[in-house]
Amino acid sequence: MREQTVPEYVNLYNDSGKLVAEKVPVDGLDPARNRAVTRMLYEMKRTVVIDLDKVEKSLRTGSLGGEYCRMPHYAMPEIAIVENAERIRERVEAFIRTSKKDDARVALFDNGKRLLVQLPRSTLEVSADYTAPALVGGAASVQAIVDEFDIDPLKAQACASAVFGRYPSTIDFKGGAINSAMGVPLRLEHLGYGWRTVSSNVIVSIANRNAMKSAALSGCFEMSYLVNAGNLVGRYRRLYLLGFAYECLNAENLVYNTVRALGREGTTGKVICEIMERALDDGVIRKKEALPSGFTIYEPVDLELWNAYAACGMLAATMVNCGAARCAHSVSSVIVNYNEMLLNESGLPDVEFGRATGTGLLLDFLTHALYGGGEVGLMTANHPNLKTTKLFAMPCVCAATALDAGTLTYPPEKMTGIFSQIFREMTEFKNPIESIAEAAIEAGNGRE
Amino acid sequence: MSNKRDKPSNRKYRPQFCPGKTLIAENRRRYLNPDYKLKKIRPLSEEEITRLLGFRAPGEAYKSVHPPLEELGEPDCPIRRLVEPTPGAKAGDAIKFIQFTDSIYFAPIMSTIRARLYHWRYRGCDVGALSGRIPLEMRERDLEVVAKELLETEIFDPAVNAVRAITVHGHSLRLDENGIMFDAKRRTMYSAKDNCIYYVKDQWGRTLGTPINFGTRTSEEELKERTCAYRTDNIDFEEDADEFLRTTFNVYENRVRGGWGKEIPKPLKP
Repeated sequence: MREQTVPEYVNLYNDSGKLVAEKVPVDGLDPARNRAVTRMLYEMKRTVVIDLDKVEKSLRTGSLGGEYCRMPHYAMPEIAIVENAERIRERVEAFIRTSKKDDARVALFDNGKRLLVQLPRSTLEVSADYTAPALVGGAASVQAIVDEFDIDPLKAQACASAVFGRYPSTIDFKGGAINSAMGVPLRLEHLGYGWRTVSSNVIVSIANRNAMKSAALSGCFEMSYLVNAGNLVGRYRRLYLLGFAYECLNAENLVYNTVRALGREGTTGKVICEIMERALDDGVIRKKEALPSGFTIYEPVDLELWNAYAACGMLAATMVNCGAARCAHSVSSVIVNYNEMLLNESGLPDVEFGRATGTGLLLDFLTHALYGGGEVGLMTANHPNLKTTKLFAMPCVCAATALDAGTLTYPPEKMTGIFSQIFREMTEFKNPIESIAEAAIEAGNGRE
Repeated sequence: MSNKRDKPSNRKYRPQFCPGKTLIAENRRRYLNPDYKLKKIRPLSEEEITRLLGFRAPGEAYKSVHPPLEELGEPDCPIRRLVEPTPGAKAGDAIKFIQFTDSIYFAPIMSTIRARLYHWRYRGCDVGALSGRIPLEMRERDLEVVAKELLETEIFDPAVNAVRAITVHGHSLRLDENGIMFDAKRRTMYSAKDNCIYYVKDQWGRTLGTPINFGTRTSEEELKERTCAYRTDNIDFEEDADEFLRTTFNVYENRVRGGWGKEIPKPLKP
């Protein structure tokens, strides 16, 4: 059988517009072939954070499982978990280690208020899905607390509720103290949506509020979902690989250059002109026919590459418009109107052939209190709305969240700031574009 | 990209906005074109705009949602260094809105074109187009500047366009005996004395101390010249249908090609 390949190369530029790698094989950007993306996914998958401060407060007051649940008879007013956090950490580590040399990591953050648990590879290999860190980390914490404070059997169940919340009466850890970057499998919209449960806030936290890196990381998770769900095979492979390279990894410096040219005075409409001009210069589109009024209809020479260019424009327009107002909420408006204006302007197809427009429209309703819903930062690609655009919409949402200056009720720092601390030192998360480019070249060399 | 293209004036590509050869299409292109200066037809003071929006008393400080950017200290992000924040964003203003209702009876502009106009002309805008109303959210001081242009120029007529934060119903109802769009909150008042239309209430329907004069209503003949909506009793869409449909067909043909992932599927045999 012939191997599936996309025989193309791109030049990748980093978030400051500097060339980081030339002639990167597009095929090497496939997460299944890219060591850097695989490492990111592995680290995310094995990580969970237990909020010891919350556990302590719950146990001291008897407020277990979130709102409306107060059971004072379970309260242990004297319990001092945060004070003894180091001893609990040692116990948890002893529980989860499978061998002395495994890569398990248990660490304390925020003066013992938060406990990081990263499971070893061997445990993950045994698990059927990605819930092991939450369940193993949670169970280990419960037992560590029970052992440390010598809690009697009747009150030990309160410890489990303080950590796991109302689970298993609910399908997720409602009211519990387990923070995971990923949502629980029972909340998945469809099979294979695991990587889409990472919220915009988590991504922005990891990227330290850098807009371009947020888009890159978001793209990694979306691409991994595409692999998982069987969307990166056959005829759609090139569409998404090129989209990932151009929109998320700043290929040919298209996004950066557009934002640089229009950062001071640009509008969504001017971004469209910039993208049209660049696409014409690069021969991605051409004139098809001139109408009697003088209006020219264009057609794509390379449809998939044009889609990647259009997606770049969508991200650049988000950066220009949301960046100018330093406010995330307008991302939905940009997605709808960018695409609408683009097709009225040229007769060319819009991003992902109409899906982005639809997503933007519902996103507008959801983030502007027409249908309830939520805030831009809380959005995940696992949402019934954002799931309809594969790959292309979520990077815009993340970039917008990153550019917000404080108009969000639930900003990344408040909700998921801990993830920024955990992954601070990891090169792949620190410099995603560089790492992915390097790994893609390596993958390409290995295949030749 | 070469550096010479960084300046907008060096760009080769000229936007075309929409197909069509009728007056309606021309009006659309005129309104959407950011290089075209909208004709001013009535003067409104900044104080009147503030009162009409109804978020603060004239002279009162802007409410802020976060400290000014300088005090806040921005995160290290190259995109933030490239994108200049608007004055409202710099000061940390709260997000406020203006909402329009545009009559189907020859209003100069209506929801769909309004949304595109905002995105062609203004930075930092957040607009959601609905059939009978269209809110525009922005940082408050930016909003006031934009609202001034929207209300003073040829795209606003006090009889068939209206500023309504709530109770927007009326865009599809027949006009009253004075040619004014229905408003359950009666925010506008026609004065027979000077033939002018006054806003006697702000966009929320709260009575204003001093009414705001928006001048005379435009005659139907002139509105028919200025409108950018196709109507069978004015300029029929049929006159431009060929161009629009050819453009739309091109979009859909390529959408199908992309969605199918190959060339256009062959037609099924009958």
